[in-house]
Amino acid sequence: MKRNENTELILFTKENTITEGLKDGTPIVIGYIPLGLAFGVIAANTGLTIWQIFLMSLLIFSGSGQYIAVGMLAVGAPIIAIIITTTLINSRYLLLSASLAPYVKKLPAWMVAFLSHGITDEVYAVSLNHFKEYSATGGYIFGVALASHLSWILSTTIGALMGNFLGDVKKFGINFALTAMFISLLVMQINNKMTLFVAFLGGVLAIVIYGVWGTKLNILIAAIISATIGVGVKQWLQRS
Amino acid sequence: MASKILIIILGMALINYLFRMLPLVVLSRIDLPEIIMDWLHFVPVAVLAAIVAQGIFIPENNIILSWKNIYLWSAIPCIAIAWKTKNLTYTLIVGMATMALIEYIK
Repeated sequence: MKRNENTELILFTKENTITEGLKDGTPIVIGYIPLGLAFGVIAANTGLTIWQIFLMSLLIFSGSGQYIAVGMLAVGAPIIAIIITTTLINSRYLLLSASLAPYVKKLPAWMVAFLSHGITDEVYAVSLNHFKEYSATGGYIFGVALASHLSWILSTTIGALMGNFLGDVKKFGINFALTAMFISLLVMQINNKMTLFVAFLGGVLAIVIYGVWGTKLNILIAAIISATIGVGVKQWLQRS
Repeated sequence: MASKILIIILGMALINYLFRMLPLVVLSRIDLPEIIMDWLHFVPVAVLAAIVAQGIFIPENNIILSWKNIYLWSAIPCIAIAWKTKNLTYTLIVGMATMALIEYIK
């Protein structure tokens, strides 16, 4: 069912079932495996129990945040420092969430509130790509988020259990899986000169900002600046 | 240590959830001005480009701007296939296969 402004609460349509979501979530499932396994191993080495790791992955569901937290725990950082740092790193979720909001207008607030727990970079990118052509449904988002979340919980927990038996997963090229997925999603978002321009800006700024300030906020800041410049240029072109 | 970890987990979980939930729920219930909508439409491509650039050029917390960057080598065929096929699965396979090959050759 193509995008239709008059449609109301849509739980399932042919292209928007949970199954579609689960299917589209497969690259994420694959990408999370090496990340999750590695995290499990590191977290267990830091002294976290299987239960704590499971709880982290279940309740937080953030690779970057979890990695940083464990790293800081390992060096004995105070609670407040860990919470502030992870808050800053994950502040980009505000941006992702805001840009996803227009697509979920027709979904009831309680459903959106429930689904929002599963919005990671990857779930966001896959969902957004789907919404270019199809109306957002609760079922679809749930499918993508569920597949991803399960993969994350399982791989982090298994990583913790298996410890160092795993050896080097790099030989399967799995360490490139997530980047490959993001490349695909990025390319699908670029369909004219403006988007190409903003993409170029975003990429360059992300590197430059990191190079100059070494901040983990580089993605957030780069995105804000390039989106703003993009709108500025678009407005300027429309006026002239 | 156990209670410290529990507090951190719960604190992070709460903040993360609020960051994800509030804009999604609140901003989808109000009408945003057109310029904000325009801005939000640029956000995905900007964020994705930043993430990709970081994945290729800052793979392990160090900037690698050289032709020896194996992530760059894996990215080139990956981008080509992504552009040509616009298919997630093919892109993933090409990307991973290229990286596996490079790791094998190393």
